[in-house]
Amino acid sequence: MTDAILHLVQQSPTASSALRDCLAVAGPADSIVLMHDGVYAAMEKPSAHTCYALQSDLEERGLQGRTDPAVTLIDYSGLVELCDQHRHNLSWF
Amino acid sequence: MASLLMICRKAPYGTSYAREAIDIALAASAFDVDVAMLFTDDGVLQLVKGQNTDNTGSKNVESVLSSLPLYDVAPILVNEAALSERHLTTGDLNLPVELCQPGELPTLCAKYDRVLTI
Amino acid sequence: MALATDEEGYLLDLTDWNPTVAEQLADEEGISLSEAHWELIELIQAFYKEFDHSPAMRPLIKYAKLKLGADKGNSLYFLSLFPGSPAKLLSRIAGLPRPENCL
Repeated sequence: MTDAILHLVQQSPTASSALRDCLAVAGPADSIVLMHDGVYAAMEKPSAHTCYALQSDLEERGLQGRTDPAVTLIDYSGLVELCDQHRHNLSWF
Repeated sequence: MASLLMICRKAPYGTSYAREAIDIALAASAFDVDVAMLFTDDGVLQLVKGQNTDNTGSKNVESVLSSLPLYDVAPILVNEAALSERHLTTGDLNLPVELCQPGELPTLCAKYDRVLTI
Repeated sequence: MALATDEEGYLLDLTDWNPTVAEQLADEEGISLSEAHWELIELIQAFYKEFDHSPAMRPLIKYAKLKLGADKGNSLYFLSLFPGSPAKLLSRIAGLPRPENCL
């Protein structure tokens, strides 16, 4: 269990300020999960933070094979595991 | 006593998010949760003085937020950067608030049992 | 006069309220309104006007303490006049919506 925060970014980086607002306050040890329309930000790793993207949401949008290799792809059980490891997870929508 | 930090990021009237966040904060306080609120991003717009809902029929967000001290919601924090980005100062707000900086979020969150962003 | 209320007895149209209606609503709760009751009815109406919602118990008591002093700003005083659930009873009799955040 870590005090670092897991940030769940749920909106497209071009339509919403969610990702930018999140990155403005995230600590260096925090991690980012891109999900729902947030996965569009996985085309180019958005920051130096550890970054994950939800594979099913990527595939739904036809982005498989087009994401930055530095973004780790996870499934829902991976997401549950990450939530479990962090004391707080914050949704950005 | 359980503690909750409610992070409000949405403007007051365009969507129902602001109202929902306030309702959660007030309800949590009624259930003896130790509630703090952080207004950041467009959420700082909820605190702007002079909101008049007489002709729209909405619940007045400024008025409801004015009651936070009576619900023992404290501290009421505002991200100073979000305020200045929107050309506002604490003088434009309807409540006494504590200013905080963007870099403080992780340490702030660590102080609370639960953190919600709306 | 039959009042239009919801299933919990709160007025459907808040503009229906007047002192006679308050007497009638109080009567349904077995309360006969004295000057002390009216003081709290006016207090909760002032809260509603200032903060745009019906208060839960704790903020109502704090508000009473602020406006009427510690003698009246305590739950025992409220319970003696509006037994059971003072914030709910007062909202109903004062013609306000049911408090949303009330236990």
